[in-house]
Amino acid sequence: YASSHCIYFSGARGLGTSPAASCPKVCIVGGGPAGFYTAQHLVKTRPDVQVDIYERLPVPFGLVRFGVAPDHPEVKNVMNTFTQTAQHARCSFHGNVSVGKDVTVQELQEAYHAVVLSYGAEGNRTLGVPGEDLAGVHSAKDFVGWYNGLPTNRDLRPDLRCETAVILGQGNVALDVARILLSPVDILKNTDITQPALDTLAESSVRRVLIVGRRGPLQLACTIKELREMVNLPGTRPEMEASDFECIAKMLKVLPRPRKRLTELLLKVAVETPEETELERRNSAKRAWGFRFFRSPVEILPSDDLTRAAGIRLAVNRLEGEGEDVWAVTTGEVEDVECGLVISSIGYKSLPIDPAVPFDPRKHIIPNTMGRVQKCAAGLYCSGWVKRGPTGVIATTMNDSFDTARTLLHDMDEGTLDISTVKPGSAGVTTILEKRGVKPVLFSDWEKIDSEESKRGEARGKPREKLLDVGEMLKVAWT
Amino acid sequence: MAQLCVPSSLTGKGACEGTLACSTCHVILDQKVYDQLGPITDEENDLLDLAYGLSDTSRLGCQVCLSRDLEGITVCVPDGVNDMRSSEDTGPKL
Repeated sequence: YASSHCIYFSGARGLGTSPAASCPKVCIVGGGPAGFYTAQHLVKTRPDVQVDIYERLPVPFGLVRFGVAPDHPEVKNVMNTFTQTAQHARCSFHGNVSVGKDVTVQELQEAYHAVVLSYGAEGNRTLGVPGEDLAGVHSAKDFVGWYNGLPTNRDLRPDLRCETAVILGQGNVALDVARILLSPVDILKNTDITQPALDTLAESSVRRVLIVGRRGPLQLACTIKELREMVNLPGTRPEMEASDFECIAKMLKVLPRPRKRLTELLLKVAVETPEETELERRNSAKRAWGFRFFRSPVEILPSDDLTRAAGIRLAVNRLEGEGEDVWAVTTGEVEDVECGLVISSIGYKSLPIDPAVPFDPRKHIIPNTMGRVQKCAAGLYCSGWVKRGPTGVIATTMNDSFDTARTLLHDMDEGTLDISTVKPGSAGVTTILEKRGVKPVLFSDWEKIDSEESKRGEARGKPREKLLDVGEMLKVAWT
Repeated sequence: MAQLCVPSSLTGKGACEGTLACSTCHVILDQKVYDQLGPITDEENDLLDLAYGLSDTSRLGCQVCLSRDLEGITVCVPDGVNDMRSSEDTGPKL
């Protein structure tokens, strides 16, 4: 029984080699960068391991598809590597399968020698201030999901009929949001931003974006590439408080190179008098952006009819501590800023997937040692944001995933992980899913969605026009 | 230069396929070779800022054009590729 289910076809591209019935089988939960990089390392290192990736959505690639900004298409080139992995003879992709709901982690552990949890962070940290639930307040996760076509955020309908938007948080995600809010539509219209988002942005009244952080310029969390993009954004000018930058210039000489270059650029933009062409460019710019430092949100202020955000009350901070370890302390002073849109960009957050999987409720990650899940039986691993926390770029996740794969392979070699038994792998899971009326989307099915999106995009001069609805994705997948 | 790395056993290099969107193709060159090469743009420097093990003779491999003059050079590939944008701690301190 087991051997007849060991013949794998990698889509239309030809027969997979049939692994021995007793080949080690690994299941990966989550089809984003962590899942794919973990899979890649496993199949490349051991010639006998079979890896199956399960993904809740019909489409693969996670935040590469739904998080990376539309105007950063080069960052998405990693999808080509992921595609190669998915098409590998000993790897298979199963979309439209919700682990924890359609199949339990325990059932996966029965079908596979090892299960790797790579399902990322689908929640977000909340502000915990009054007014957070008013209309006009969104998490950056939802706003980004909206312009990137994440089905859950399809009906977000952000109201952009206000002049000022306040973004809380100063990381790269905050800068992405600011840039998308202020980019000329002519730039956005040839990207893979969704059409509804493009239409909404074309009608937007937002002319001023403030990017607020609780500490100072030397703690600025974004990186220089993203700052430079804001500085060079056509039709915009920077507007910052010179007083925020007192005492900064003299610190430059002791800063390490990355922080030094970032701070130099920041000072140049915020404080220096620009030369003539730049001055003219700024004076004719109709949109403005700026960082506001030493400010923490205290309350989001409602409109007169109490239905929507009309402003934000910010506490004024000062810094305590020294060097790398500086923290904000409130001075007691507050400041109200009028605004109609508040985007909180203070971090994503992982959620527990299944009662059988240990979860740290304080750190919001799966407790682990080098990717081996703690406080449970052998055979459970994790990689990516659910392992380390939701920070870092794709390359960070890549290294992290390789580390987990190495741990798993080591355990196989050492015998800590028993791979001598015969396991049914995806055949076992398919049986369970069939009984529950769940039909997986294979990688060749995704390729039909991919092809349809590219076709629709071509008609509009875009790399793709994303399908926004799971039902529509499934219809195309199973044509 | 990055195109040589991609198909080789050096996994994980050239993640963005030479489009100045990552620092995984970071290489360290001999001073003499480094001095021979053209000027570094702001864009390349911005990404080098984030590269693991940055040195005074570091370049992004995808920005270095191999030519006959460079035949026989030794290129060092750093051990890790951890982008500085990763943080040591796992998210916010509690």
